[in-house]
Amino acid sequence: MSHPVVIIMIEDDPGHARLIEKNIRRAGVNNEIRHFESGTAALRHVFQPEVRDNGPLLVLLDLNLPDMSGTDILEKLKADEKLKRAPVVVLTTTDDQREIQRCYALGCNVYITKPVEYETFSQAIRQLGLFLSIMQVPEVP
Amino acid sequence: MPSTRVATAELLNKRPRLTLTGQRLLPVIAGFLVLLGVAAATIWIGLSSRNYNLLVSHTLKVRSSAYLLLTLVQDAETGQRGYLLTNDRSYLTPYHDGADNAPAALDDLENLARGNAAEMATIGNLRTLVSAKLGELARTVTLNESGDVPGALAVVKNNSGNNYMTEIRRRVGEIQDDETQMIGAENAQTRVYGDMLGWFSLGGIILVILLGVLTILSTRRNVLELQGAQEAMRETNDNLEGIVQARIADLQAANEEIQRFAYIVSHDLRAPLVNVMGFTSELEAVRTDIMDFLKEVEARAPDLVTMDRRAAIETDLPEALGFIRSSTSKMDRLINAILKLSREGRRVLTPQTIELKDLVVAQRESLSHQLAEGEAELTVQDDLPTLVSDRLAIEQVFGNLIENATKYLFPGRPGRIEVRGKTIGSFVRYEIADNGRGIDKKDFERIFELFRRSGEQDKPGEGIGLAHVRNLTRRLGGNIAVTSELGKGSTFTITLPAVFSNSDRVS
Repeated sequence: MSHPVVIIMIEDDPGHARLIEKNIRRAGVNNEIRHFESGTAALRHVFQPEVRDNGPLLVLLDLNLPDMSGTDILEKLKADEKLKRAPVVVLTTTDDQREIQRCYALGCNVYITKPVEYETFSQAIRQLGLFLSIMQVPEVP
Repeated sequence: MPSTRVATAELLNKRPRLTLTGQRLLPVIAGFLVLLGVAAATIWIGLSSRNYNLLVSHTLKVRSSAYLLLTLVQDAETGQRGYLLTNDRSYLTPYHDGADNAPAALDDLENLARGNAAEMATIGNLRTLVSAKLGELARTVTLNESGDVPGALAVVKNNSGNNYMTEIRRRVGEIQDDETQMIGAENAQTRVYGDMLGWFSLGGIILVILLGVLTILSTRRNVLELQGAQEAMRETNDNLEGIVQARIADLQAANEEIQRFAYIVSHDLRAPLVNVMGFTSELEAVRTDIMDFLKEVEARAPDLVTMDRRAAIETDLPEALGFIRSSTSKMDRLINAILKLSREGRRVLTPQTIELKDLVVAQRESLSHQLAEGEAELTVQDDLPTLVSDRLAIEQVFGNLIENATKYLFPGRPGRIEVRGKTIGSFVRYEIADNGRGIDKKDFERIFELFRRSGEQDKPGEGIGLAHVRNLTRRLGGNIAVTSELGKGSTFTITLPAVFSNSDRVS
């Protein structure tokens, strides 16, 4: 692992973003988190050559975005020769079965529903953090 | 969809009248009357001609009778003359024949002429003349027989016999002429009738032909109208099918939209709730820090910790956080309920045969603890009708209703819950009756609305169950109703199609 994993968080709700970040940190994950509030901005960022070519990435993706659907972003990431290696964790309020199936079909690695109950939520995020800390993210060759 | 509605109304109005009106029957009736008239006239004229024939035969009889009389008298005279000339007695045979038969002939004539006053008068004259003539003849014959030939010839010579004969001839001629005249008049009259019949028949035939043509035209028009009507009906049918299809599509679209709406609302309401809950928890963590800080301050500078400050941190802050937390939890439960309903509406129903009795018995098993607590007994009708429907939905409907019956028993009274049912045509009707606390009549509709409850709020619940049940029964093509009396018990009646297929879906 030459580079530490960078976490790309695509989340339009700043509150959610803050809570997610806090809980990930509480789980002891200290990797860099780059937060984007829109799909457009996030895609522009990850498709820059220096990001695309250099880094193990992990994407935290919300599905309900104002400018585009999270599944569109997922599709674009998974269609790219290099970015498709980055694990994608869909983290959203939707727990609709069809949506979940669609995400997995498009190649999402983990699908997590944001529970309203905060304890459960923070627990889930912390577990995600633990999971992230042990997960092997493939290096870009 | 107002445009299709207008189209339907228009089509219905266009439907032509198919009744056979009086106007259409008129030619037929008229033709029949004309034929009847022609027939009556024919009969009448036939009868008149029969009268005429009778008259003709009568006239002939009269004429021949008169002629016979004349012949007989002439025979008698001829015989008398021969006898007187030759004195040969053989000439007396025609004389006697004539003289003897003449009165009978006269009687016959009189019989025939009875009723004709003029003829009767002539016949009266004739009778006098005939008897005078016969008397003259008899006298000469008698004189001759007695040998007085000159006496007899003298009688002949005085010419009175000849005068009688002339008179008789004239009278017979009169009778014959009279009869001929009468028959002529009758004949003319009959000819008029005959002509009339001819014209009448001709007119009738023309009329009948005319009416026939009229009827054919009118029938043709009728047939064309009928064809038009059939065409219109066919179009209406085709259109109706289209309209129904369009309506179903509309309903499905509207339903989908409602589902989507509920779904979006529940999700978009959830996102801010995550924040409210999350940051409330963060605040609680902060409060713990402040509490620690308060203790530190109290230890170092106790005069800084006033009653108000302590109360704010130790009482007011946790109270406020507690309310935020409980309200958010409630809101979360409500949103989940909406989400559940909307999700249930999206689920594809799969009909299968359900042994409802087994299903209810299984639910009784799972509720045995609650039933025992309320000293309640659940009885299931032995021959509870089976049905073909969606198993999960039916389980939820009966589960909810039975659970409610168990939950809202009358305090202190052993519960009696009964599940019964019967088949009504292509539907099955189930009843779940209890002797529980009952529902106020004004709440019969309210209890089926989302988040609404009735009576004393002493049991946990969000007011979702019955709304869910009604939603399900409607999706299954049925309905639910309640009758109840406060303090006595409630009966929920569910009507469902005995065999559900997805095409029955109403909402």
